[in-house]
Amino acid sequence: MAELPLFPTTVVGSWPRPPWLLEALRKRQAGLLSYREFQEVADRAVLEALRYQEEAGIDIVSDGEQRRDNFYSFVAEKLEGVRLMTLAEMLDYAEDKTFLDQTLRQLDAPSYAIKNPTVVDRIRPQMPLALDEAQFLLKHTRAPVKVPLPGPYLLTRSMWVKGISDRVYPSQEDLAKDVVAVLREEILRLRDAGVFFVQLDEPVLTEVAFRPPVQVRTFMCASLAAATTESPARELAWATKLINQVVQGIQGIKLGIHICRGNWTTDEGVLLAGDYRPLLDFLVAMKVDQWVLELATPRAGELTAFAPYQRVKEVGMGVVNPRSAEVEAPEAIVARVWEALDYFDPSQVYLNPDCGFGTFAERPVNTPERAFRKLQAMVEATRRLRRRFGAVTTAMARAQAPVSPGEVLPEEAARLVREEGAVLLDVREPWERELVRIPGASAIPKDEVPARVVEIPADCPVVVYCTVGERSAEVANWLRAQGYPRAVNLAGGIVAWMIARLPVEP
Amino acid sequence: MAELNGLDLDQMRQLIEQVRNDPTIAQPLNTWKARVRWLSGFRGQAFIRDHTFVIDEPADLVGKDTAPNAVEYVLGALGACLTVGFILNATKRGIAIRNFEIALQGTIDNISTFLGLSQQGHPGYREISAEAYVDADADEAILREIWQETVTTSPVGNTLARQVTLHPRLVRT
Repeated sequence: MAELPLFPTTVVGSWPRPPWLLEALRKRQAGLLSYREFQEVADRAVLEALRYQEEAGIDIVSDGEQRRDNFYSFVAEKLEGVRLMTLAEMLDYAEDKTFLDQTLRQLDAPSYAIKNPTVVDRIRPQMPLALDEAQFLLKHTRAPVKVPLPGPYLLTRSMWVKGISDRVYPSQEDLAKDVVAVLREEILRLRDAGVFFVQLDEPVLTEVAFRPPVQVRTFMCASLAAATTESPARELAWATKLINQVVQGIQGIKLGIHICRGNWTTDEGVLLAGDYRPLLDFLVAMKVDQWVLELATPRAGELTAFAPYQRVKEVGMGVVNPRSAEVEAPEAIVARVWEALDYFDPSQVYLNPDCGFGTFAERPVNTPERAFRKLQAMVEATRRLRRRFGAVTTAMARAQAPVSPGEVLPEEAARLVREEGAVLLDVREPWERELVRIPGASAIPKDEVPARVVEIPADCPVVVYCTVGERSAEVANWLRAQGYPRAVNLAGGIVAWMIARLPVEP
Repeated sequence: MAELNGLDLDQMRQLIEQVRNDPTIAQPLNTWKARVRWLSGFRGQAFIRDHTFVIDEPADLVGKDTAPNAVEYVLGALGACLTVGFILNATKRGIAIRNFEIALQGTIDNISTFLGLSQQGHPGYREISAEAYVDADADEAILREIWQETVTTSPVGNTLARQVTLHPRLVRT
């Protein structure tokens, strides 16, 4: 896998579609364009979405989901046995018609305008779900590629409709087996094609966990209403099991799970709210590398929710709100990430928007121009964070240097300064010190130490540090040989110091 | 047979032509009847010509929730009436409608009055909203015109918006 610099930036997936793509999509849906003809139009849109990301400086790019009408119903075109049905066609079968009516009122939409992929026969891939998307993107970028796929719980829950699907799959569990197999096969295919990151989208888990009253439920799964009246814990456990069956033992590709609280309107007031506590046990149990989470709005709750499970997974931190007009300030993003470092290692933190910018083709939540500026704000925040941490890669920051004789861990170093009057000696170059330094440290660049050794007091402990502890180890060894028996190296350097949440400036 | 929006155009033209020539033939269409029989609890059954349907109350109102309640049927009736009107007016203009749907919502002025717990206001609807969604190729201005025409000529709409003289009578048997 590609070695990434710290705090990689990425997207959750979708990008606002240009008007000419929407026109082509409508023609395609009306049967006026062939699959191939539509894909040719979409190719251009993908390149445009990619250019926005590359120009903003995003590290891991997506194709903006330009070929999809939304993040999950596109599977209807790829799978035999699945038909895109309107809610109007499904109303007679829906288990909870009140729920559907409420959903439509929320969306201010008629039943005939909302489509749901529905299982009408045994499902079988007619073509890969996203391999064509990935191959096109890989051909046009050198950046690592992320492909979002609808998760197994979402697909099973939305596609199985009682009265329609139970003729072929008596229960949702029966359908789930085939859904898991399809997704698993797809991930392996994407990995072999060179995709860096597959993200499973399971937005409905929040609805299951938060059990909102029917008026504020917003998801359009015909059968979800029934699910939410059952035990949320049972549902979440089932979702976790399905996800683990999909990813079990798959190596060589980064796997993530994305959950969110709704992304179909810019009215924050009607989207779900709640922190991650009710979901945390299940998130921890999911055998994925990364949680791709909303964390940019107050609706997502406090980061303290992660206190019980620290540094167990990577987090794709939502640091910008894809729906708002104002662009987040890089300082605010840096501050939020800094806060997250209480619960995640620097090597575990990725930056992304809370969700896509155009989850539903016809309902983009922002303009491409604003979306672009939000990506730029993220990239600027990452640039500032990287400067603070020095040019270390994720792997370097991950390496917990074992403490050898003559080395101390950050907490011990801080104690020496506090209780034994130790001197902190920064041996990095001046430009490095400008980015970040330990308050009260003296500074002599490594190469100048022999000439300026007299400036270093010999009657107290000396804690020598650099970025990750390599240059300073040499200096500490040298000092000990020169009559500084109490000279020690700060293991892991200022990076370890920062990870330990000890104070730095500026 | 010429057909538009599922309607027989010839038959429709014929009806309009006949009524134009002799308004008295529309006379029977001025009177409508229903018979409602109490079943049990809050359940009732309506008999209308050769049709029948059940009316109940939701469990919150001590009913068995086996069917919509009477005030909900009013919303259903208004929605159906506006639908008929819209399709009639669109068809008269030769406009094909692919999809049409109305979402209605009514607010009772004061339901406590119905329960005999208040003298304030009245137990009828104070306001009713009707959001209509239409999917057709015609100009939006024309569709808005048809909708406006539909609302002003709606029999149920007019029943609700105007004062109706009720003639109640009780007979002991």
